[in-house]
Amino acid sequence: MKKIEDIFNTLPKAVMTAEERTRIREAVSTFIAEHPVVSPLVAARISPFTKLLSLDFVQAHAFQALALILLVACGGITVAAQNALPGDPLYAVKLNVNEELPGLFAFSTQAKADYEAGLAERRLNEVTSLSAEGKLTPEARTQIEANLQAHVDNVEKSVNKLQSENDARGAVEVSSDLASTLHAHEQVLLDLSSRSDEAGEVASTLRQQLGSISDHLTDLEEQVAGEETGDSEARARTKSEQAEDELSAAKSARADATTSVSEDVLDDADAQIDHALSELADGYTSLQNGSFNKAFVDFQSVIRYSKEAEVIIKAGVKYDLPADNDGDNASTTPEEGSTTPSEATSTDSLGATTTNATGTPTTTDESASTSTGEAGTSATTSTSTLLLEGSFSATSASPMPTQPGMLNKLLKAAQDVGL
Amino acid sequence: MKQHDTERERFLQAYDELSDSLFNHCFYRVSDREVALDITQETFTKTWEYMAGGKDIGNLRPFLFRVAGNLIIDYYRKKKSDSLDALQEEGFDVPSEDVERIISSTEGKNALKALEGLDEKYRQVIVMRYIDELSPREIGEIIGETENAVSVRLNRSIKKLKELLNLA
Repeated sequence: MKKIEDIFNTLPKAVMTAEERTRIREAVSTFIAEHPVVSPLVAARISPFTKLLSLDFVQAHAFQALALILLVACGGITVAAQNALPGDPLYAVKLNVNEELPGLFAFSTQAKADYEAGLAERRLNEVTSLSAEGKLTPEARTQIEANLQAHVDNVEKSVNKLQSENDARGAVEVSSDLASTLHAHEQVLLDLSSRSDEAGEVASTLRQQLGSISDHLTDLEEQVAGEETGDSEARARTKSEQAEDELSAAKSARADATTSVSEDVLDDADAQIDHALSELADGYTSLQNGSFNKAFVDFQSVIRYSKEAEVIIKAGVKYDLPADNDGDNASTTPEEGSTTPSEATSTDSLGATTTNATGTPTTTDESASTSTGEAGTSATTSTSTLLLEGSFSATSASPMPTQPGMLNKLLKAAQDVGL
Repeated sequence: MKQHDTERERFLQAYDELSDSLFNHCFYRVSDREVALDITQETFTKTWEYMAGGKDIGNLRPFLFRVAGNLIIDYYRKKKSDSLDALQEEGFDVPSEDVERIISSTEGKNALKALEGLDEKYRQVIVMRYIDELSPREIGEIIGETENAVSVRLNRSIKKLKELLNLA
């Protein structure tokens, strides 16, 4: 009788063609270039004190250690840069330092997509802020639009990747979130177009982007609805809970805003909430019929419409929409004063706050009145947390100076301490 | 930057040395050329991602096999959940085009067919032992088992394989 070894010895080796080997090598090489070594940061995260203070560690990683110290020391600048807008000196720091770092920690396809979608939302918040203040220049618009397009393209790439990884539901989630962000901001910018011609231009760009995204999303939704997998029911039920949460958040924002925004804004928001309610009913019908993936798609639509309603209402409160062509309007504090700036921008998934035209957060007043040394300390702490924990939200939790004057103070403080 | 370049060169050198044996392993685990190519690529990118994150991976070769093993398990999980029905309809009787092209002898085809009929954990050790020609100790290092446990699993795998090949 033949031995197993002998049988397997007759099997040929499977080999790659030279072309395949080169293709994969290049793909790996590109991947390496896009994923630089960040070891000192991560090593520090595992054991911040022992590793950072060990002489061996510093000697072995002198360059990275220096970079880390510089980054931590520059915390004041990076925190100040959080709120920079195109035209501000710190805007480049915001794009190239503040926003690049968290991307290093987004590993999975969905995490990368969420990260890019968050950046797209930041660009839209910038455009909205500048439009509301009547400060959106054609140059700033071009710059923001180009960046926005790049983020949208990256999200789309991730969506395609998720699809090719057979994660159509993940693709639907990402694509649907992006669609809701773009659509909501399109509405807000249309309302702002009376204050700024440029806002109308951006709105029409968004409309175009939405066209192709919506087509793709529809295909994806059909794909998901058509396939049932083992975990479909559980996923659909979890989604229904998220949908209920988002819808009730939208409803409560709508209720709170009843007296503080115009009828037009309320009508826009109500239309989205109506859509959401109707999708919710569809979702439960699908659940009852056992069409769990169809239910998943329906509930995802509830989330999309609810988020849109929320963005529209919050922008309405924040920017006092629609505009009455009074240039000063944007810089006055809303009478209600009930919505704090952090609440008004809480839909930004990256935890960003944009420059706020309506008021200053109370938390900032305190740090503004303290010595520059203290302000520097608070900034440094939060940035080192960002680096060591790999957590982006760490910075958003810190007091955010929002007035340009405050940015200058912080910048000056940084210069004073020799940075 | 310099450190990054050095690491990059070393890693690509490792790719040149190890990619063939990794691809061979993947092919005999999944019986599909394209999937094996994808898994080979992803194994290297995932491993780099891990290394770039500052984690110590020890010896690269067993680590790569471990990553590939996890990706293969993921692949089967996805395949199973995606098209359990299709798999049941097709059964394991139809060898893929790739297999037809690569393996010419009837005996070889039968061996692969039997391999495809094995549970994943048995197929894994058989491929490692007889295709990759790794020792039980090396296999143990990759799959996180003792040498003894690997030998036991290998014996069971051989027994099952013989049954499938009607050699028992």
